[in-house]
Amino acid sequence: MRGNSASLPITLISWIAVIAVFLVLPFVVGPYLLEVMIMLLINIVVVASFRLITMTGGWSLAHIPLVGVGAYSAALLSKHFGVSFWLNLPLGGLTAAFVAAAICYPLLRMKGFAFFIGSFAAGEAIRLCWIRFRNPFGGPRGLIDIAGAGSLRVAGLFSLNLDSGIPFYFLTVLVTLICLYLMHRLGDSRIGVTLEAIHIHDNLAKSLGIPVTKYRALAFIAGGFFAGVAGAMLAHRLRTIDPHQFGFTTTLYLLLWAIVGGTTTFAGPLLGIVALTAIGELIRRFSEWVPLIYGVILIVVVLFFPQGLESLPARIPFLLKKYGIAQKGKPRK
Amino acid sequence: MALLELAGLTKRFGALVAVDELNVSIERGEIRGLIGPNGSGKTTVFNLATGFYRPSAGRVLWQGEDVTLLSPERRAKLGIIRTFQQAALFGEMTVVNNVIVACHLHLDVGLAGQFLKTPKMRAVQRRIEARADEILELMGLLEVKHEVAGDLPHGSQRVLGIAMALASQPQLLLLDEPAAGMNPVETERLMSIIRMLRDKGTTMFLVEHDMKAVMSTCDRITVMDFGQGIAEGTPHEVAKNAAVIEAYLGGG
Repeated sequence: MRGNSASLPITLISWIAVIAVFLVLPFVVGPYLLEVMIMLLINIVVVASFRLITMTGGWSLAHIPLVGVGAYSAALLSKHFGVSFWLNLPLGGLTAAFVAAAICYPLLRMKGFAFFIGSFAAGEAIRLCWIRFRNPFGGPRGLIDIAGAGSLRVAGLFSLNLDSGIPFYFLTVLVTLICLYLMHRLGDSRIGVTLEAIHIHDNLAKSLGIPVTKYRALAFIAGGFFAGVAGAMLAHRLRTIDPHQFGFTTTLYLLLWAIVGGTTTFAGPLLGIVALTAIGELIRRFSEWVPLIYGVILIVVVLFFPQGLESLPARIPFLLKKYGIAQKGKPRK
Repeated sequence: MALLELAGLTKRFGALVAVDELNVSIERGEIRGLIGPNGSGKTTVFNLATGFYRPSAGRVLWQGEDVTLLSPERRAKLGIIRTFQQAALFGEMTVVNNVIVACHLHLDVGLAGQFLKTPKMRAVQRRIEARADEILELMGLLEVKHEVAGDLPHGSQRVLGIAMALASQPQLLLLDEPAAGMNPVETERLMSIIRMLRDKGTTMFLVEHDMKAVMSTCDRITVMDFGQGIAEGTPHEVAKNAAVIEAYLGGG
């Protein structure tokens, strides 16, 4: 957002490199890692949508349940009404946005710690509905036999089964890119500047006539929408969903991604989730130690990079200077 | 008709009466001072006038209309803008972006237009940027427009706070101790800015501790003590008022 001329090509090159890796990797890795990458892409949408909410300063613990709302919406619509995968993505998003709008009315009256606890309670209330109301939601066991993405046919020419690994992967890439583009655009617009201002000093924003609650609601609902889209993707890929998937453990992972990556920039949380997913795969065979290792990573990051991994590039010149390596840079004004 | 009228305004915090049946009426075009010993309720009056607090009793009238229950955002929209006692700015943003955000009331493009960056939005954005430059020039901050606001020296931060309030084109500007922590040179410069703004047509309501600044700048002064208005008049009249002297020198 505030990149200067020197950092622009670097940003561009790194984005191209990232996209190249995502395009080539599925053909190299086996089916297991392909599945990991699909989940990574879906989670990228989740964590990017979470950042929309943190932009106004609230760390919502209801975000993962909102992903679940999108997933349950897609599952129910496809099971009972045969709604297709394509339509279920926006519908899942809208359902989650609707639920987000309903819970944000009381939530946005709270600040800081109260918001934290309030959003946790709202998320648990959503989860309890799935567990209690067995009729549509299937209770603790959740829903099974959800339809997949189906296949893509072009009148007798060819038919592509979208549910097999690589086609679904690229489908996910496409949806993720569209979602990221829209969210980036929102943050980059005037709305993003206003959200940033509200985050820094909400009373000052109020005194200047900015309708603070309206903007916080906008961020919360928009975040809910994209969480719902991600949830719908998830339901159509896993084919089975249950309340436990959207429980507090998953929320903890979301917070971990966001804290490790940092939330100041758009790329921060994405960096966090990619790094942690990669580490998670590397240490997978020490399964029972994984939470401990994550804990250590969290502590190290909080101690040494309190702004998250995203602050790493900015800290490199500082570290170089600290260790006496002369730096040729433009003189500061 | 008075621009802003506080009628029988009262604010109680539990047993403490912070503001006690205060009556103030501010005419268009004046600089009104509000002075009083520490803890006499001046900042509470500002919070009541701008909607950050709800009064326990009494009313706030804006050009004759009751605005007692309106939120700060709504009052800002009507033209009642305040600054804060602590240097209040968006510290992580650049100076110019602070002023651009402060132009929010004059954005008049919907959320969709902002998101889509329509031609209208681009035009409005250019207009706001030009206006921000104008205001920064007026306040003598143009040279530092690309600096991070939180890095400015204290005096400049306070001036930026006023620049931001001006960006929303207030009819009434409430300044809460604008000269706090300033050296005499900065204070004098600030007061000349305030007089210049008055000459440009902005009405101001000013809380300030620096007596010299208050006496030389304000047209009329209201004096508070223990939440009550004890005197009102020109600087000259107030300075001679027995109750005021009593309050400041302490009689009991």
